Amino acid sequence: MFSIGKREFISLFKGIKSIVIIAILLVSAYYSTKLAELLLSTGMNISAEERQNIYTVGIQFLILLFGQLFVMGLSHDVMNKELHERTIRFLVSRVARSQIVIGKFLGIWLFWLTCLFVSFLIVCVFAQTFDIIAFLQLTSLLTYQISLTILLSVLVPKPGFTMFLGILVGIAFPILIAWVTLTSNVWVAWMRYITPFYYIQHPNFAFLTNLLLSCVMLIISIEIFKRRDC
Amino acid sequence: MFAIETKDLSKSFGKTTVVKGINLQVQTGEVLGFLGRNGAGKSTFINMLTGIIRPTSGSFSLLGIDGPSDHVKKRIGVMPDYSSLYGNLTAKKHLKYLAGVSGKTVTNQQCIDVLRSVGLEEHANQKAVKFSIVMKKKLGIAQAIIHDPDLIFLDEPTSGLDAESTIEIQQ
Repeated sequence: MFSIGKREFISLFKGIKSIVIIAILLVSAYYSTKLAELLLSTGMNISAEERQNIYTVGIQFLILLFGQLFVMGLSHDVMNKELHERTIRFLVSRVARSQIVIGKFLGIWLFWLTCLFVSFLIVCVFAQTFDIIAFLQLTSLLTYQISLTILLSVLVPKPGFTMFLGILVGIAFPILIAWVTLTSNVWVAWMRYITPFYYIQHPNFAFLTNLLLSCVMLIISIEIFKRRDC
Repeated sequence: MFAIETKDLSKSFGKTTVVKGINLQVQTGEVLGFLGRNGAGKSTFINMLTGIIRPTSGSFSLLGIDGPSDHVKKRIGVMPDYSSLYGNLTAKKHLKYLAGVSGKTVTNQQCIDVLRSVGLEEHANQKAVKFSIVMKKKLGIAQAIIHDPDLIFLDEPTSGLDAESTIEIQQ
């Protein structure tokens, strides 16, 4: 499991897509703090809570709007590529299928955790404070997005299709979720309870629900993968 | 204790039965080969035993452990049919990675020793994507034995090879 995770983690740092996404994250973190300092220097009338959040607001918006697109862009074929190329046979004949899914998840999760942590460190240098709640909320959001990506990669056998689906879901996901989170239409409003934005609206521990939803998606992924011939 | 024991092992894909009621007992230390025409179900049978596909019915045990069991996987070595390798990994990294997946840490020297045994020592640091068919087959065998398994499954290790390469692999 850890070997699979380690390989996934290291491979995510290679390639132009990863470099671009890491650069976007780090540059956003830097300019987010610069903008925050500029706004604060104008003497804006903001609360203490807003003052703390203002430094990380750039990263938060980036992950909220493009997080799913980034995660799917890098990992849309995390499972189905190995199924398609049949390299998965080397793995399923060696370890439990659940360990393969969990190993892949851990590798991707650690990659995003590292990227997010470094971004927050950049903010921390300027803000001189580490917004732990915002960090944990975004981590829970990314955990949800990674689990959804793995689920789709197990469900859809063709890597080419998940690439297309990744772009579609990546763009539609924040729009759809923002809609179901804010709408008063009772026919769609219930969906907010299975989407991650609802649980990160306020600075409390509701974000832990996202981890629960991620676990459910991972369990479904494992059960589907267990029933699949490779 | 049998190395392999199957009871009425069957596999169907939809309405097509590919393997039907195989009863087999293989002793420890025995070398067994399957012969048959294309589509006879040889690979399907091996794939069932190695956990690549699930049997439709019947049961089997490997090394005395009822299968399909994740516990026994660490004790078997498998060279699957039609499997491509990880093109971006070198031969040595292949072995290190797959041994690690099996839960065994191997040194560079152990990798080199195994690669030497299949005649790939000189290509240890070459990426698999540049390998010829023969070299891929050899690396397939190497990854099957890198973790020192008690039971080895080789699915068509010499298919598509010329006579000279076949003899080389058999040796």
